[in-house]
Amino acid sequence: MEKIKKAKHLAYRKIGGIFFVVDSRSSVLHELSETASFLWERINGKNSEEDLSEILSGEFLVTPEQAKRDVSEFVEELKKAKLLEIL
Amino acid sequence: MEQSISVGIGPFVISFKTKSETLSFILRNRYKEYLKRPAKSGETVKAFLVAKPFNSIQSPRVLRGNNETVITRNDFISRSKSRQGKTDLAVTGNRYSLDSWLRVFLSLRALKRNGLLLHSAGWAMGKNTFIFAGESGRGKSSIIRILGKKNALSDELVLLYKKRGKEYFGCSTPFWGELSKGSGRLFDRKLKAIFFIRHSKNLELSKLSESEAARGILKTSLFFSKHPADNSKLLETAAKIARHTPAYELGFSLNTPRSDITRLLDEVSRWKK
Repeated sequence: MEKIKKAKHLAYRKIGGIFFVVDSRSSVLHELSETASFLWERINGKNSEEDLSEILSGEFLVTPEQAKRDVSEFVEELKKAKLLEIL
Repeated sequence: MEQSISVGIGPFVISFKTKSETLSFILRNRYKEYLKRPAKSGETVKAFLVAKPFNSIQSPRVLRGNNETVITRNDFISRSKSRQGKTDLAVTGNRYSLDSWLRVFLSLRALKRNGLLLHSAGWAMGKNTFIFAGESGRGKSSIIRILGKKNALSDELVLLYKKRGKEYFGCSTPFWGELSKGSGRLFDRKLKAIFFIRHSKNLELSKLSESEAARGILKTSLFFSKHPADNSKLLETAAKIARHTPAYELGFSLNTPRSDITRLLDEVSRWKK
């Protein structure tokens, strides 16, 4: 499974429990939800989409199938916004 | 003959050196309330007059590299040596050009001191200052019209910075919006609260969470750098201000009585974060 990593041109910070991400190239500010922030913290170049799904279903009250769908959607959104690097 | 003109905004003293009569005239008139004696430490800006715009860039750009910072637009370009506090500036002889350059320059200097320029109106009451932040059309000038210009810091851009590494302060700037010009009084007071304003029929106040406050600060700060390190610093600064300053959403109308707002400010200043 492909590992995923945050893109290099980003600045991000957890404020009040959620992450704010600034894309330095486009100057766009992204604000993540609590669940998205939980996943964002675990995108570290070591975890794959599958790993993130397992972590999510282990931490929240969601089925493995639902976790897989949620992670997949989130990763797609991040890719579309060019906030991720695929290793 | 080279003239030296120092402009002080909050803790920042910028000493302009120029042989241009036009630029000297603009600096002395445009920033007359902010003129200072040259400081031993601070920024030195060697300013040169250029006859007309020299490129097609319409909004300011900040470029970083080789210990240099370049700020450019079609009517100005400056190059600063990061560690020496020295800047060369070429600018057209127009107060708006100089103003725009100074805003960007100041926003970068403020960042070094965990500060920022916020699109906001500011109003001083006693030893405190209250900030009313919002994008264009949200009512920054309106709230100053209601409260009165006499104690206003600005109706457009207020400088927030950390004083002596401790508390946040808000201070007057020469940058005004619809009201054009201040009362001639300058303020540098402890930051008591930030209100993100909007028009509303009734006077409405709601407390914001830390992340909501940070979002408001990030959306209303004047910032042009695309450098990741600058963006990190901006996030850090917004987080610090949001953590230490009570923030609210404030709805008001042009018919809201002044006494209702001052009473509310008085109450808010007694509340704990």
